Amino acid sequence: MTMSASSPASTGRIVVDGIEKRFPVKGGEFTALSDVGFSIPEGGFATLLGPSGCGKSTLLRIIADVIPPTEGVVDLFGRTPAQARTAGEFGFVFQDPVLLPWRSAVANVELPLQARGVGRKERRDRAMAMLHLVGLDGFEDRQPAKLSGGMARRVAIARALVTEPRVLFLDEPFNGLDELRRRQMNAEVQRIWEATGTTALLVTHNVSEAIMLSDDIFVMGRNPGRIIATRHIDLPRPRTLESVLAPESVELERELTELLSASYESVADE
Amino acid sequence: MSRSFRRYAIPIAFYVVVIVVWQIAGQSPAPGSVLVAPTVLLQTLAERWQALVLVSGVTLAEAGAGFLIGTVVAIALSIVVDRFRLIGEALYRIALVLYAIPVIAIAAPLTAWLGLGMGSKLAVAALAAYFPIVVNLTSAFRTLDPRIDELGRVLALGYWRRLWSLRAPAVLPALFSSFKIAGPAAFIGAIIAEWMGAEIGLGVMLLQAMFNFNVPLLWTVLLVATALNGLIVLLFEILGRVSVPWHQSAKGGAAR
Repeated sequence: MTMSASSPASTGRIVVDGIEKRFPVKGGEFTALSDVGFSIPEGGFATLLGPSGCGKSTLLRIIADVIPPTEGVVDLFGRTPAQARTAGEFGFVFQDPVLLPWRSAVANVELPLQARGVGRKERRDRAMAMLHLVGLDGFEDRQPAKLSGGMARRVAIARALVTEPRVLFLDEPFNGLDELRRRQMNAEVQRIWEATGTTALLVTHNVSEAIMLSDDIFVMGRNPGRIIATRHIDLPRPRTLESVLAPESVELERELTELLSASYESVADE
Repeated sequence: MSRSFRRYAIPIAFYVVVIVVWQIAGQSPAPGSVLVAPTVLLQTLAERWQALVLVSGVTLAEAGAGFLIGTVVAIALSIVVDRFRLIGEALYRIALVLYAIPVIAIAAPLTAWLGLGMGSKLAVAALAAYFPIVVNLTSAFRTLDPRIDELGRVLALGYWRRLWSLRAPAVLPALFSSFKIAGPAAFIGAIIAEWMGAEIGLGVMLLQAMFNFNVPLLWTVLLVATALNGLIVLLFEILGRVSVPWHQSAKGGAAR
């Protein structure tokens, strides 16, 4: 990976440039991502919106240095993904909470601090403060099996944020929640993101979730996965259910839904 | 009430019938039959209990020590297989081949090599015990929820930290279920090793009873051995439940 993108001009932003991801398959190669590029200002909230199978989760994992790209460069405020990851600048919320079932809620939140050698007392205090932030006061000693789906996701968010990461990755974090819960969690995420000032990158296929949370939406199509449209959302913050139901957002929702449907159909045509 | 009554009553009635029939058949055995009535077994048990406790203790000690050695080796081997792909693969294959040798066949040369004392018993018990643990642990590491590794990567944890905090607890249920196979295997391994030559032990007593055609004692030793084997399984079952309480309520490595 070259450092060419980490010129002074790109510092203070996340810059994704020319990302290509190919997987070997029987009798050739499958192109999961083709020439993907975009940028996010520090402290911003960006969303990769796309149908399932468009490679948006793969893209997220490339930016977070979980998997390498075949080609292309990612620059996070002047650092490579590997540098940023090992410096502990990432928080990651997975599709499922992925809590460790043998640890209590608060011990799960403590895990990233423990890994960094933070002392017992400070670790506990910071984890408790984070549980408070996500609205889980009094649930710190619960085992994950005894938490509801929404609570488990709050714990996962608290764990991702407890190290005060510079970048928060959210990989379809509210899959499987009913629509009402999802809206509640969206409002929570917006509040927490504003409170922490972290830069957030969300992956979702839910259009209203994207509108509710994002400064910028990058719409992805598939075969190969690529960015087919970009939208900047100007709605004032904090956004509420009402602002998402305002005429201009409903119009945007209709437009984005059409873009998504089109990319589903383009596959059905093949 | 009546349902739970039937659930217990029917098996109990079945065993009562079996024992009664066994008793009747054992009281008037056909010539040359090795059938021994349950009352005779109980009588032998009462007469020889001190000797039985002593020899059981010896065999259990051999099996226990062998099991510990086998467990340590198996865990170390599984970690090497997990950590170092290439060397691990080769070692894993050697472990497979080693296990293909029947315990009874390897017991003879091991006894010839290590002598009639504890050493040969420990070696055979350890050999019998390590394999189920290696196979279970290795496959548990391989089929571990990949998101656990992704979590470790995002948190920038090193291999040992990841092993200790994330992967080892996740494979603990597999380890305990392998103990339920390895424990009895070590016990049987110790008995087999005793057959190849030993001063004292359940296996020795079994052989002596056989050569003296002491059929009641033969059956009594078998009874004791079976009961001990059952207790070993039970012990690890309980130990597993106590040590991995999350496993029952939250299935798999890290569903939540």
